[in-house]
This record gives sequence, structure tokens and C-alpha cells, in this order.
Amino acid sequence: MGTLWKIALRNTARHGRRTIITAVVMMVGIGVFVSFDSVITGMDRMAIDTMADYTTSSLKIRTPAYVDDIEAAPLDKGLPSPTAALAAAASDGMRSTPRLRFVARISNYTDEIPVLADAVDPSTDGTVFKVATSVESGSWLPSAPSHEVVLGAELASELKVGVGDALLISAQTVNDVTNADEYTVAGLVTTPATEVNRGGLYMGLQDARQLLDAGTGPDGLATEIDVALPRAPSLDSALAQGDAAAARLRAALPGLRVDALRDLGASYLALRNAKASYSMVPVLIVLAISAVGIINTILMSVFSRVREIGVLRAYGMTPREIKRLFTLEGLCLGLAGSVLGVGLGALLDFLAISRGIDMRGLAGGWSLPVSGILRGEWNPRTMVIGFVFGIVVSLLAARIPARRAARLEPTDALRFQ
Amino acid sequence: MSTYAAEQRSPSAALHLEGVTKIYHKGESEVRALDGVNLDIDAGEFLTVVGPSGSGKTTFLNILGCLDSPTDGRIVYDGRDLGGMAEKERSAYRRERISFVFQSYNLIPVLTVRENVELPLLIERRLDSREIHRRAEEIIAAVGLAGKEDRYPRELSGGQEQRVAIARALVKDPLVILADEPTANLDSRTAEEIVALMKGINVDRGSTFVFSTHDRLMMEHARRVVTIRDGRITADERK
Repeated sequence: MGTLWKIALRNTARHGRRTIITAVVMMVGIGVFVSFDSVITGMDRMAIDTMADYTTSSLKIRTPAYVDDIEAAPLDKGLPSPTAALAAAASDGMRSTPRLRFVARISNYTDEIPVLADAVDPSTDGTVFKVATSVESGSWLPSAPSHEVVLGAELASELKVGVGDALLISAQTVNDVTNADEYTVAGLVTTPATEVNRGGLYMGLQDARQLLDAGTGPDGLATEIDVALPRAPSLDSALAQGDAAAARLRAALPGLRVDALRDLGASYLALRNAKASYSMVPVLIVLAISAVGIINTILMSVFSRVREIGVLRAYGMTPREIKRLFTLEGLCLGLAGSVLGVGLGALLDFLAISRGIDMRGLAGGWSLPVSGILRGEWNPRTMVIGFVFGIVVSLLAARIPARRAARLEPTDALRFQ
Repeated sequence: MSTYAAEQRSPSAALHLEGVTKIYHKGESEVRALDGVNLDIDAGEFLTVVGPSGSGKTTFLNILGCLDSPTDGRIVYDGRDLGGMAEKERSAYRRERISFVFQSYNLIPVLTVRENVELPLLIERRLDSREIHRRAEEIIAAVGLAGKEDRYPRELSGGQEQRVAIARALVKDPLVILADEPTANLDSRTAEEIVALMKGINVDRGSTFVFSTHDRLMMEHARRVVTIRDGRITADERK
């Protein structure tokens, strides 16, 4: 075996140009695969983080009946005791805040737009969400009732209102009668979540309860408790962390529904799986080209060494050993391409992680919650897959010329000119 | 255990060819490359096979070296008919019993002189690496290439390459060394050196050589000259 390795390695090195071309093609294929996966995972991470920071939070505690009828945002199916849910989260060391979602109609006295409004506790909302830090103009809601609202910047633009302008907001109360009141625009927010920018209406919890006739005090109406979890090092660990925290809260809050990021971002994660399959397509194309390159390189090697094969056969090497020799040459090429490919992938990953990709110009046209600087993520598993895939492709590709070499009759091989 | 283990070897063993015939089919026509060849080759012979081009010399060597099988007839070594062996057994026979020297040397270009010489022993896998090195050193010195062990074939002259090929053929102490026109690519002075080298080895070590050649010099040195015409042995002279 040592002799075969020696001959295979030296022949791989001897035909440097052919080896380099084939290895470079493989390097590009595997490098693209590794770095593409890094960027896609980073994009997923960014999207999930954006969801957690601006719309869904990391965990949501709601009643099962509310979730079943969620499209209607039913006020009569809110949490029976928000304080109990908040206490359960706090006892587990989690940051949490109550929210009250309701269907509202905003009027600038000329036009009227229906929106899904969020009543928030201004003193704790910032511990879970980042909307308060995304105020583009004006200010976030004060802690005390103020009859003020914060709007998504695009929604404000559609309503042609700005900071300081008055709006008429109407909604169905818990008693199913329509109530309306005038509010002042305190601030406008622009976030990476386009749905917030286009339809966000934020109001203080006490103002909302007053509008909706939904009680007062700590156990006034809240439709959900939103919980924040510490940032996990990777998307997979973030999802696993969410699942574990949700399980603990479910145990602490029987009768309530606790949804983790995996449930809250289910539709996005399904899209992610589809993306992952598509991401393989260009890689498979490049690796197919690599396979053709390897077949070609080793075939050329076989044709240029027919007499050498004859000598080895004459000295008693079996067809199987000849096949192994050329398979080893394929393996050498595969190893070179895979090592270079993973190296290139790691380099591109490093650039994508340290420098990032500026997505700000793309945010408006995308339905994905991705904006700002997109950063890749290290994914050792993808590197291992890329490496192993390169080796397997090389071994499979080398089989064809190796079998051809093994089938050569020694007398024909020795006669070959 | 291989088919031809070392302990089975006998230095006095001879090859016995009986009615060896080789027929090639080219389309509809039939070519009788060898036609009922009968011959005994004793251990330690220095035998030259001569004849015009296409007379069957190379086919004779190929069949003797188990690179090809006869269509009919028997080649008997150690009581066994080599002609009827399966490919695996023929590989084992070549690995352990036969060595070749080719007209164009056919050294492995990516291996050094030492590695080329060691190759048959590495393929044979009978000896440990220390013994393989020792034998290679000894045989390289015997062919006059001491000090050139680490050179590659491209760094050698034609005569030096053929010396390496001879060393490669000798290193495993084979039953017979088959050489197909070994001096054809060499100038006359180098050819004379190579012939003298082989003859010296034949005398000193008792190695059996069977050559095919057109070279008059080789015929002069041979102790036995077998002439083949149209696949038949037409003369067998001993000197």
C-alpha cells in the first residue's frame, strides 16, 4: 500500500498543472458550498433574531383559545392572570413583558387604515423588544399614560402624519362596542422588520386598556406575555434553548400555551429548509464539473502511463492493485481539492463573519425580515460535509479511469507507443 | 501463502515448453505467432532468441513470462502447467519468478533509482523493508550505479537507465530474466557494456537470461541461440 501511495502522490504532484486545475475547480465548488451555507445560516439567524427582537419575542405565553382564534385577536381570550405568567418567567430568570394586541382603525380624519395594534408596557417592553431603540424621530412612549402613540415610519407616511400630529384611533372594546379617542404621535420607528415599519402601532398599556375598557392595574387585560432569552451562539442552539425554556414554562403554567421560536418562526424555518435544498444546486453543478475534471485528469494519467501499467503488471501487480493505484490518485486529487475547498470556505466564512454583507440596500424589496449587516455563521458540520462530499465524488469519479487501467492487458500495455 | 513461496524454489529448476502454440485472430484471418514450440530452458542459461521481425520472438517471451497464455501446448515449471493458470496465479508467478528487461527501459519516472529497484520486492511483499533496502543497495552497486541511488530516471543516460532496469530485474533473484531487445535503444559501446554486465551477472550469480535480439553482439555472447521463424524453432545452437 505504501508503494501505491508513493506512486500515486508523486504522479499527482508530477502532473502539477492538471492537478492544480482539477483541485481549483473542486476548491471553488466546496468553498462556495461552505460559504454559501454560512451566509444562509447567518441570514436565517438574522431573520430569526429580527423576529425575536421586533415582532414575536423568543417565547410567547398565551391562552390556547386565543391562539386558536388568533386572526381575530379576540380580547375575551386574553390571559386570566398576566402577573402569574410574568412571575413564572421571572422566577426562571427570564425577562418578560405583557402586551395587548387588538384590532384598531387609525384615522387622520381623512383616511382610515385598519392595523393590528400593540399595547405595551413602556417600562418593561424594552427589556424584551428593540422597538423602543428604533425610534427614528420623536420619542418612545412614556411610562405614564399620555394618550400618545408610536407608529411605524411607513405607516405614518401613508397616513401623512408626523410627530406631534393627532390621530383618531377606534377599536371594539371587550364589551364589543366601538370606542374611539384622539392620540398624539410621539415617535416614528424604523426597524429591520418591515411589518413593524408598515403596520406598527404602539400604545401604552394603560391607554389601551382605557380605550378597550379592559380593566386596570397589574392584572388588567394582556393577550400575551413576551419573553426574551439570552442570545445563543448559533441558530440551532437558539432554537434548542427556546424549546427547553418553553418546556419549563409549560410545566410552571399549566393551562397556558407557551410557544418557542421554533413555533413562532415555523413558516420562516420551513422556507429555510427549502432554501437549504436550493443552496445545494449550484454546489452540485460545480462538483459535477469537478468530477468530470477528475475523470479527465486520471484518464489522461492512465493514457500517459500505459507502458508503466504494463511494467507493473509484468512485475506481478494484480488488476485490483492497478485499480487501487489510480483510485488513490483520485483520492489525492480529492484530498487536495477538499482541503483547499474547506480552506477557501473558511476564509470566505471569516470574511462574512468579520466584515459582514451590507443588506440595507436590499431590505425594502425583500419580504424576509433581513436588514442591516448580514453576518455569516461558522458551521463545522457543513465543512465536514463539504470535505467528505469532495472525497466521495473523487473516489467515484476515479473509479471509471481506474477500472479502465485495470482492464489493460499487460502485453497490449507494454506494446503501447 | 503465495503460490510460489520462497522455500519451493529450486535453483536447478528448468522450464519445459511442449507444443506451445499461440494463435491470434485478426478479423476473419488467423495468425499463428507460435506454432508447436518445444524447448527446455535450464537454470543459469544465457539464451538468445533470434529471428526476423514478426517471427514470434516477443510472443515467445510473453508466454514464457506468463504475460500471455498459449492457445495450445504446455509450459511446465516445477511440475505445473503455467499455461493453464488463472490471471491471479499468473500474476503471482510473475511476481515471484519472472523479471523483465525492456527495450525502452520502462522505469517508473516518479521513483528514484533505489525505489525503482526496490519495486519488484515491494510488489512481492515477501521481505521486510530492511532486507529490501539491503538487496537494492547490493544490486545497484553490482550494476555500477552506486552513488546514484537517489537520482530519478530523467537524470540518467540511456545506458544507466538500462542498468537500473537490469538491477530491477535481478533484485528478486528470479527464476528467469526475460529481456526483449535490451540493447536496441543503446549505442554500440553502451550495448557492449550492458551485455558484458548481464553476462557477468549470469556467471557470478547463476541468473538465467532469455533475450530476444537482432543485435549481433548479443548473439556472440550468448551460449545458446534459438532461432524462430514463422512461429517455429528452426535452429537451437549451443556454444
